[in-house]
Amino acid sequence: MSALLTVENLCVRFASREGRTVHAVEGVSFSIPSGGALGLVGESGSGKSTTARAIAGLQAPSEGRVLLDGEPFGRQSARSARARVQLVFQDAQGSLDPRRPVGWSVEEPLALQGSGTAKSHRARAFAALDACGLDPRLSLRYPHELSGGQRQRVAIARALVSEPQLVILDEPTSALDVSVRAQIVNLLCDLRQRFGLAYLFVSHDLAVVRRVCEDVAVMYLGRIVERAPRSELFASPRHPYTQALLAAVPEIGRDLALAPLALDPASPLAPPSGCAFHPRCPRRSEVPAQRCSLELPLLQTHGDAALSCHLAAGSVPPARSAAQGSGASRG
Amino acid sequence: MSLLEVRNLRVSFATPHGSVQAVENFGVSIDAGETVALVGESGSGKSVSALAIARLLPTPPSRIETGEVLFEGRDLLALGERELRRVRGKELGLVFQDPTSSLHPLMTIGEQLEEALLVHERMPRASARQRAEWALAEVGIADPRARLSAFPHQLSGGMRQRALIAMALLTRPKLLIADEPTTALDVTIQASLFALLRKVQREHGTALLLITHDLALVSTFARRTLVMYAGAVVESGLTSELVARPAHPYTRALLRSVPSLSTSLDHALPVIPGAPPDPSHPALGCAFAPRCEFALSACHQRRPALVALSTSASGEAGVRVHSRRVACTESERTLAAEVNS
Repeated sequence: MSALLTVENLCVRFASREGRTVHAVEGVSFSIPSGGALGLVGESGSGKSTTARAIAGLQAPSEGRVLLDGEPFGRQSARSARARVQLVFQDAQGSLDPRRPVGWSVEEPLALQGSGTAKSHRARAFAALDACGLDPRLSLRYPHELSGGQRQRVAIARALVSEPQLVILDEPTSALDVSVRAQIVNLLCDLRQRFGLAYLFVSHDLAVVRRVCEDVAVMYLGRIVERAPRSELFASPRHPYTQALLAAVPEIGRDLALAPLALDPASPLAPPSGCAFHPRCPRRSEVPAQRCSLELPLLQTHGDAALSCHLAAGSVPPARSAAQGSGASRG
Repeated sequence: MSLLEVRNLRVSFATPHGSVQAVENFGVSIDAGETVALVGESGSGKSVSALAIARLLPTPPSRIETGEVLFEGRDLLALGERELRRVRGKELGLVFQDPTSSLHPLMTIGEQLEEALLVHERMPRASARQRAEWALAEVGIADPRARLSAFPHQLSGGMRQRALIAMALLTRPKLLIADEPTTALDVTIQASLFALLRKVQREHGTALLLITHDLALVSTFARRTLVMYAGAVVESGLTSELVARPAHPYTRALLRSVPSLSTSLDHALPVIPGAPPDPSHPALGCAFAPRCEFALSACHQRRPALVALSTSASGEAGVRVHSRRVACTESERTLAAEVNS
């Protein structure tokens, strides 16, 4: 089966004020099949949002290419092609015009595409709002009159109205209250099934990604360090960084692994040599000859998983203990 | 005697549309060295309660209508500005979510740390500098001497939050109030900051009032938890019991709706329908009733009081037994039976 979205060797570099080069994204490659969902996770500075923006054409890649259905995709693409990829951001307030009723914002993409009548636009906007669990009568309201959850539903409806094949979601649930977050997570799962959408889901919230996406890629300082189907990644993470990340997620009924990593991450301005994770890696001493600090590990593919770690492709034992955490008692 | 005893706190805000009740009949007690969590969604009143305790709410528009905040027996609400500043600067440490707004952008980290010591401890400048350096080292900041001369914007987010915690702990406060201290940070940094807080608590017997929306975090870290909804505490008790057997329908639903790394994916996440209420339109009855699957008609008429369900089943020796409390008309009897069983 050919991929809907193919990303090949994507690099995004910025010039910093001091004249240095920031390697925000380096050599990122992956593909998403039609109707598939890939979660892109990592900490701030990992390059996950920059990757999403580059794919959406909001940020010119310094190198590499993005293909949609085998055709180059980017800022230069025709409007009809660009309508097939839609975006939803964390802050719905920022993506809706505060001076217009939200119905207008949902119809706007159709008006910009220029086909169909105003009446057909309205009908499609109503259908999209309805699919997102909103009463179309809300379309007369202004963004500030809606709750955070309702605004995010409107933003999703605005993405759906163009009948996209791929929706790029950048932290779509991060600004929401706990009780509302669950509603939006379910809505996203439901919409994907109903409309056969593919998702690129960028989030720091691993539990939410696990709910929505069947494949997960973990980024660290601009590169993918591990990619795997969710059933593998959450049950037996292989990269020491993935292991630490999962152990640090607070879970009800599980002791928190306090301080799974001794250090804070390095700045993307000055990434460490070799494997960028090596200064924080609790297992680097298992690799001989200081290889981790000298040599960049390659991302090696095994079936539908990939791993970039000198602890040898295939020989890193899955660390269940890391996912269970240790050490914390109630105080 | 508790270190902190808050009783019957009631806070309102003046708005263009009249007075809005933000916190109603709030109470909490914290023993020395204890960790108590205040959990709720936005608008639940958790941050307002914390700010009111520290008397940091701007008045107006806010107004503390009733209540006592007894800190080591003294009512903070009755203190004059000078005495209050002494308590806040020395015995009460405060950490907020956004360190950029709590740090002065034009002062170095060192100057800000030293100021507290110069003012509150009347320490000579040289020893203040030394102490500030130790404080940064204690919170895990590498190369602390160099960091003393850094400005806040030159530090990463995790580092700024560490510096803020160092500052809050500088005068060895007896109580630390932390409002979403790690919400803006990555989980690995969150974990290391909580390791740090635990270490400080062990070494110095610091009590912690942790304000957060994150039930999972609370379940791993706080001994007791108060769950707030629409300005009032709806349930409180030992965290382990509250998480294992939530009594209030809101606590139950909230616990179920948290996505986890291990629960089955066969079914959709259980959700709480609707959204938290608008405080400017308070409900007559229970504020959660419109979203509650168990609500009866009586729930919409009368606001239930927070009442004790039972004394805690597992009262540890030497520790005061805190009863489980819940504010729910419908469930009082049935849930009491269940919790006691």
